[in-house]
Amino acid sequence: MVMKRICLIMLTAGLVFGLSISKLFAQGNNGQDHFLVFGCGACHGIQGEGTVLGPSVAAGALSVDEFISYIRQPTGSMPMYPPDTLPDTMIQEIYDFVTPEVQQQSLAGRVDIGEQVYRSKGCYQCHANEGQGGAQGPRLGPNPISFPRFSWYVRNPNGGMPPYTEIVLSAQDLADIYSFLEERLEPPSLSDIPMLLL
Amino acid sequence: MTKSRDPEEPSIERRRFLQHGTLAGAAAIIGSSASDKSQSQEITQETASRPVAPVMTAEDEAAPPAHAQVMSADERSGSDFMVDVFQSLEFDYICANPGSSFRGLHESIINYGGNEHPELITCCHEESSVAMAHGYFKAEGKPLAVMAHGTVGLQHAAMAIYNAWCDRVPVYLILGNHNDAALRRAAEWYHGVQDAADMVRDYVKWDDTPWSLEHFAESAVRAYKVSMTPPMAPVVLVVDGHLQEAPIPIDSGLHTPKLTIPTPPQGDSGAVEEAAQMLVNAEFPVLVADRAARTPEGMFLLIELAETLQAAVIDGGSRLNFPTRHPLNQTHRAGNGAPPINREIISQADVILGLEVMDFWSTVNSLRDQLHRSVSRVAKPDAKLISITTGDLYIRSNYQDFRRMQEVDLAIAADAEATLPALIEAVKRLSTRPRRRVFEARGEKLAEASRLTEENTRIAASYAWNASPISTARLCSEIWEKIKNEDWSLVSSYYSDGGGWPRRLWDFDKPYQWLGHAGGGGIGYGAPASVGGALANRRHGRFSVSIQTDGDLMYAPGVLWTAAHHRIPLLSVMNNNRAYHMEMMHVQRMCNARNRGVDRANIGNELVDPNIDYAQMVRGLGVYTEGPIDNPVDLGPALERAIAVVKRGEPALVDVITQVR
Repeated sequence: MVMKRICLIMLTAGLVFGLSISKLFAQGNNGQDHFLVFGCGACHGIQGEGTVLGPSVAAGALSVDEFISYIRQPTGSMPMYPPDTLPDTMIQEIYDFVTPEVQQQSLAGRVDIGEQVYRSKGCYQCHANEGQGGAQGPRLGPNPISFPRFSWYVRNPNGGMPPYTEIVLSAQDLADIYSFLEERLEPPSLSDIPMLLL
Repeated sequence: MTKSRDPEEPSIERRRFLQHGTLAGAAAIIGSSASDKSQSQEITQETASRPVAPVMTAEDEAAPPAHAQVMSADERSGSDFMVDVFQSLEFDYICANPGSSFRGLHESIINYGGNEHPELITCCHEESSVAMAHGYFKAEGKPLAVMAHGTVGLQHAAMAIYNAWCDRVPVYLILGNHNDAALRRAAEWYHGVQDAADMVRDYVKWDDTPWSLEHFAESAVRAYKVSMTPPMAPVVLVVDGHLQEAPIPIDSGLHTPKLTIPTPPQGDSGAVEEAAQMLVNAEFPVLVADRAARTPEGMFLLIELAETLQAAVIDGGSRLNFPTRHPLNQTHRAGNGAPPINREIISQADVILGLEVMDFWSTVNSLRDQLHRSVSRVAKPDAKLISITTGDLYIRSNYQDFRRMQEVDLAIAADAEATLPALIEAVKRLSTRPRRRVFEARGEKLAEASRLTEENTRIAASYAWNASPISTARLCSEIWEKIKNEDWSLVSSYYSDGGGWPRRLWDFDKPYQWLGHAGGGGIGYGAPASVGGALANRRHGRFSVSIQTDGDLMYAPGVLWTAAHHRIPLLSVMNNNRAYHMEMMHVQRMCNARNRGVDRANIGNELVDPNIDYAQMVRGLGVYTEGPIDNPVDLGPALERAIAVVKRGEPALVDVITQVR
């Protein structure tokens, strides 16, 4: 765990911790073309920012595999795009278009401070005291999603989660919370909890 | 028909004289005592200078006695007849916080009626009385009667009546009022009202103010009939004080009408056939049930329909519509535990059948609650929607509990449970062999999904297993471990549902094991409804357990005294997370939407400083208590001790310090 954090710090050493702009125009715009030609922008906005007809797809919450899978088997009112209409390679380019370059963790997180911040910023309200999740929010730890995806989601959540801008949650806060989640204990084996066995 | 006033009875002036005479007599007794010589010598100068009650004089003693007014042997009271009518309706109990506007009826219940059928249940708040009746009905299927002042009592009761209205539960309210202004005592003026039921008329199904006992009998039976006819709802009967108290001849010849509950409306046969055809032809039909199981039979009918079709079922939870561990139950599949809507299942459906679904719009759509609210459809755009509900038969205007309008393809205005037999028969008849093979394959996939959901649920429950404060999953697992071999009934609502864990972890397979929601979202329902449910369960020997939230209990904790006083066995396990967390979450949402941060969102939402010691508080109400417990290791033994008390026929409470979710 410590090595992982050191690597992250090395990767981003010297960088300013903050939101970067989208890779919107750095991809040769193939993805953008596909996005508009296939009508994605009609519901999700021209940059995938979301409209009343469709949610934001620029939140970076899905992996590319999940993104492809969803397009193949969408829920709600979104039409299904089969591979012969929209191949995986083109979806990959759309993914690159709508998925912004996410921030890397440049600040070392502090577990003890993280526990306090996790509470004071209200994360426990939906995700419970230990990040184990509950009726109002999913489990966050241990083994949280990658820090870039975590940070992007916190700033740009889908669904009902309130957005946390840098004004209300600093980069250091975010790093501290993430460290707290990383350090949560693995649960006991089910075989050690007889009352949870059927 | 009895006369409302006997022309030979004393005039109002005569009554005032008699009343004054009575008061003077009472004062004389006090005065006589005070005139004792040895005591009068101890009266200080300061005390002596204050006004004192007049002493009886020799002149007073010499006066002839006042006319003593008591009923003669050939008379009885109007309220005695009222008790006859209530006994004909077979009320088991009548809940009340005592009030002078129904003192006549109170006396008749305990003396004339022998305090049986109905037995008077002493409540400390009218909201408790009504919520007890609400919980009782959902466990027993019979309404309870509630007595209250037509003014202050009804004002206390209003929120609980609204909950029952939204939950379509019958509660039989009897309001005392002195309609005739010329007969009112002083207190009866501010306890008097022109139109007592007006305040709640928007959320009761029917009300009346009878002007004679014959009128009363007809309205009392009509009220019961109206309240018990789907869609069920509370009703109000205003009983005049004079009508209760005035004597009537024993042989008055008053008649009590026969009660006949109408059969609930069944769906039109053509529409039912069409619905059956749509379900049989569907590739992925989903059955959404909310208040469908109106009686215990409803659950078994839904099982039969689901198994015939091998269709996915989502239980909205307003009643126990479907066993939690049935392989076709997909309520919690891929969800994080928050019923009632499983959007993954809904999004796959090509036909969705809503059975008494109170909010069909939110079943197939989603509203995103952010700074700028937005909506999106969850169901496929071409999914066919069918509704069967009595909600199409009766609707009111002012309160908006009818929810957002949802377009459907087939709307059957009928009672879902009453319609299910015909629908099942039609589905069986229309199911060809090839379709049945499709059904079987679908059922196998759903069963596998169910199995995976159960496995994932147990893994999810294991996280933070040893944490303190205690996780809600651990809390619910520990309770389940101790009660699973009893004939148990979870009598608390989903507001007290321990984060949804019981219906994810426990094996609910009997209709009385889950009593559903508060209806209108009015907090303070949980504790009294649990006591009401436990009162119903007592006669069946069931073990009643409540997961009791702290904020809910603080509204009217006196209902636990009622449980102790009436020996109502109930295990209350506190889910004490020391805040109104749902509301704190809403404030947090506002804080961040305004970019101000959530750091102060606890203000106005927490129940700390001082922490409330529920064990100590409730012990003072005569209830056995354990706790507070914040170490999960201590929880199991504490539950065992409390369960032993409950099995002796008494209530017990275990205060557990828990996590927020």
